[in-house]
Amino acid sequence: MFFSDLVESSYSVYKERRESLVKEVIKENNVKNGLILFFGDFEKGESISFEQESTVYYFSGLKEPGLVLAIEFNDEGSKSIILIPNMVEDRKKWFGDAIEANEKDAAIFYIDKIDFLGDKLSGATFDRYFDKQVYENILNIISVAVKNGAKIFAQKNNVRSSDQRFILDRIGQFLPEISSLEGNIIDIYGIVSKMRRKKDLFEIGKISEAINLTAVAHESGARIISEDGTECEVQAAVEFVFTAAGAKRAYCTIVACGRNAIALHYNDNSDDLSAGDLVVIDAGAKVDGYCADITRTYPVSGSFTKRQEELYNIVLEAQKYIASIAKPGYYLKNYDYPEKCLTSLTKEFFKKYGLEKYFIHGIGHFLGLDVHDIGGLKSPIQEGDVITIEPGLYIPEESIGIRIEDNYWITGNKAICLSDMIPKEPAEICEFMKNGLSQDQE
Amino acid sequence: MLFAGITDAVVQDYQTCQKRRELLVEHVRKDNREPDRGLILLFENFEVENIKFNFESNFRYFSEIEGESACVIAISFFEGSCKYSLYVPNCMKYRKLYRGHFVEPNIENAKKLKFDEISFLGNKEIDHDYLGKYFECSDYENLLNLISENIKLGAKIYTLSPNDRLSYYDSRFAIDRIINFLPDITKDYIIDITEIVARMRRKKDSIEVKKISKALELTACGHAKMARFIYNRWLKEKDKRVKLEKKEGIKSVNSKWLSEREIQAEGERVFVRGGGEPAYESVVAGCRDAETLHYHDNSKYVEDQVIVDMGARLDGYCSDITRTYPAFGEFTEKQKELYSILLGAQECVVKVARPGFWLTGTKDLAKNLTSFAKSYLNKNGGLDKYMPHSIGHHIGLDIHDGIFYGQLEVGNVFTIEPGIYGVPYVDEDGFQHYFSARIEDNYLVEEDGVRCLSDFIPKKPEAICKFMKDGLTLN
Repeated sequence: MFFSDLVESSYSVYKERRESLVKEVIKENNVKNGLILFFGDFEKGESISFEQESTVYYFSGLKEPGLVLAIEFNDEGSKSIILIPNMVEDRKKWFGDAIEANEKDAAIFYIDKIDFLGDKLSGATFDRYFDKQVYENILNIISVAVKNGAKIFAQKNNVRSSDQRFILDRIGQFLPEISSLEGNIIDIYGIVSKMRRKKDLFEIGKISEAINLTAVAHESGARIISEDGTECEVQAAVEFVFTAAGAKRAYCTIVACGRNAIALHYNDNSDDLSAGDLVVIDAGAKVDGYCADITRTYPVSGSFTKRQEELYNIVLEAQKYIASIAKPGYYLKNYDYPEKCLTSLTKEFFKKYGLEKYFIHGIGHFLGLDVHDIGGLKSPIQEGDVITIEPGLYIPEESIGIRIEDNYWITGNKAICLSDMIPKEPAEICEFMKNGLSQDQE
Repeated sequence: MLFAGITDAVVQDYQTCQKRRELLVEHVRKDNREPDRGLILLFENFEVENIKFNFESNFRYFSEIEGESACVIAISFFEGSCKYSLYVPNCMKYRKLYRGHFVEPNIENAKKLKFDEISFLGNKEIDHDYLGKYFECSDYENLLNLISENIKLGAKIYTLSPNDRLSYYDSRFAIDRIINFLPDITKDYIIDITEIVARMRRKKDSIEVKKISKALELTACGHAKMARFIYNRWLKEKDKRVKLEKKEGIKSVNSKWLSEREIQAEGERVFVRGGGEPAYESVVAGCRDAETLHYHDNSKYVEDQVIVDMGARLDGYCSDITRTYPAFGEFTEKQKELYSILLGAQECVVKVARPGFWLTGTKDLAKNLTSFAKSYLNKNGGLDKYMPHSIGHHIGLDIHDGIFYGQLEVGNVFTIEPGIYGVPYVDEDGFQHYFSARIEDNYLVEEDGVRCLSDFIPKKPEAICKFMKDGLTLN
């Protein structure tokens, strides 16, 4: 399923997205001229690999730390400017490639102009506690816009990107005229969220690539499980596949054996595997910015006990049931509409077996550039969403944790499973552990 | 289940941390003209969703508490007496549910962790499994009260709040937020203790040296795996080439037989399997990108030789090792000549390094280790112009540890890592090549010199080749 082969990859995609954004902003706010600001994330230290803020990436395709995307619009149209920290020479020396503030790069990236944020910096890392001069050019753009009566738009309430909020606060300190941000900056988180939720074919292709690689990683993990193995050995086998393919993990890999699976975000992965237990592997790759998020549960000893299989089948049935009804109009988690809420419906399903109290989390989340992608769980599912469906049972009395998670693409009337190449029937799971993915699925 | 990583082995570490906190109070008082009263605050980092939690190394150094975000160490001192408190975010319910561990504020835990008391940061329960960076006043209520009381009594706040460094962002952020909530405090009440803490941390005790050595053992296993992987790959490729030439009578032109990221994946797998992780972004540079100093895309293919700069972090402590492997199993004569000069530069630095010397940043060239390396390279073929960086850095809980690079002292652990990049030469057949290499080991400063902590990882040209064929042979 390589949609990306069909869709030409080009920076023009990002230009189109920016144009749609401007249209939406004008429509929703009834304004004629304005300035939209998105801030790239900062580097977080030597031991953490840099990830671009997802919305900046969505609208620019650029991975430069500390950059600012400014979109000016008025009656005559819109203009996109990228402003980069003024330290190109040092970045080239230390990191190799860097965007340059010239027309050639602007043309490549379909940007109207690339400029420096402000004064030249020493060193190759942009300090989040930047001085005014270092940010002078962007501050000027904002000042001029405010003077001309333009409204300023930014993402204010994106909790996942606290750097956006940090920079807005810092700009407020430098520009007294907009220091009361509450009044002067209009939040466009809602518009951004609506756009980012609706995945195009290019994005579905990228997510599918991440899932394909994740399938190989789960195979590698499944095959190394043994009674005298360890959780971190399985983690190593999974992440090996990501690294060897030049990808990264989309989130902290969970390998949780027996009781450990009951703590939902367990990721110490520091215990031994023990015979007779189940082991939950929750791991996904990030490829070209897009995430996969897949969970499988395996019997350490290679076959399920009767009780394990009974519970496993209930979870699997729950997933199949939810996948069969998920479509536009349903909610991932909104208790105001219990009859349309997939989390409530999962609970109802488990109730038939008297197990509902062991299902302790929501049924799923949106997936995309972020593993918990932008979008409120309380709003209805729409065409173009990619979601996870991940029922689980966590029974402390029996030291059993089971979760099965796949990724689905919501079309007009149904949910299409993007990860159905990864086995999940009990018999298939045992076969997968022994022999891996069968040839005809390759 | 109390919280992650609690074993009998770390009980000893808690005692060590208690002593470190006592020493910190001593230093803070001495360096600030013996104030009667004061409050020292050390902040653990905040958590960010879906990113592996990255601990704050000073918090770790003074507490040995692992994997609990947003905690704060508060030490209030008054004349001769001190009170050591630990503040934890009030998210017990969800943290236990989602993580299975939490430092509960009770007497047993305080006793175990060697604090006088453990309290919640605020009394209101947080309905999340961690306290985010943009916390509210109520989330921090109890700590804010403690700060207010101290300020009223004339105390200053001593914390990590440097103005001019790319570091301690979460600590600085928390302080800014506290100032926001407490109108009585201004920046004048905040005194930075970065230098004091760095001075303490640069001097490693025996437990720390042991932990770095453990990380180095894991690193050695990773390098052994990668060295063998490169060699076996070459054997396969050679075999293919021979067959091709015999069958079709043509010489192979396949230059993409060994990718950098495959080597990286082999090494990192060993680190993770051993319970560790890469201490920094691994560098595998087998092409001309080696001339870019922090190249870590690792997205190209190995040409003549490959620089592998990869170290494991284990139990919090970092190791930092670089080896350069020949792509074709053996160094050519020219590679060997250049490599041997580089090794000579490292040996020359090792020989002179002792307390009182500087890694870099001094005009006293007789005590500047970077100058020693460069002048050795200069005397041997004028290679110094191919070495654009300094000789090394301290390591410890951080990969670039200690922050302030003063003179070496007994107990420092640091790297000696000469490197030359893009040295051009022409081979016997008239083809142009570029030689890049770095050799990096980790050293402990002792009274009369330095001791190599990583000498079990081969580095002589012949030993490198044997390492690639046979792996690690430990005595």
